Amino acid sequence: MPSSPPLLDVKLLDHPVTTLPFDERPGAAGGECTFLGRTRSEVHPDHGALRQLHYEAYEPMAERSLRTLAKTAATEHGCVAIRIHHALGPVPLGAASVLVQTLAPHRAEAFAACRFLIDALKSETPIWKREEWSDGTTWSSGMPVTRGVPDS
Amino acid sequence: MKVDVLLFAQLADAVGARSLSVDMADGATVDDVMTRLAETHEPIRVMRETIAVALDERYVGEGTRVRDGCTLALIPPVSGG
Repeated sequence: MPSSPPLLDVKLLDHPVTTLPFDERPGAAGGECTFLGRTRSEVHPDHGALRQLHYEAYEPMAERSLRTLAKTAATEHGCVAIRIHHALGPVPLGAASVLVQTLAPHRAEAFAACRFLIDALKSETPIWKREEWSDGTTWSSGMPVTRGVPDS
Repeated sequence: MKVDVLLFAQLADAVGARSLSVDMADGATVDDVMTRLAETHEPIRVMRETIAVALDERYVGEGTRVRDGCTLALIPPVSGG
């Protein structure tokens, strides 16, 4: 377990995201894992080629959700630093909408935390993606939120 | 009592509004609010099974009681990442 609190850098940004080095890199960190999710080119059968994605969020809850997930990942996987940046607004083809970066004592924990974070984000954080095609727009069908919802 | 309701993304587009306000009786639950909204807004009735509800920015179950002045967010299927 790390001896000091993990560094958490969680942000919603109004532009595409990019990789960043951690300013502080604790000596206990032997493994660092970075995931970037990018807009890939697609063709819709009715609306033509994808131009870009456009993201919106329930911002205060999305920030709270990402911070809670980061704390959970840090605790469960012993991470010493976690960064989650997510873009809002337009994200052109090839640009990145999400950055998940984990720093842990060993690679296994860094990979596991990174995988947990991107999967959990996609299943419960209130962020939505609109697909803007050459001829029309659609909302991504998305995933109904069940994780983290109490039974009653 | 008055409950503010926030709508997002595909649900906001389908309803044609990003916020609503409903008057509910004391003791009403999230389920009661959703039933009322489903009666007055067809897209909410159609999408209800896929909508999660957050009360003051935390997911809650439908049995949760609402309070005067609280904010309910109707969260359609999410697609971040």
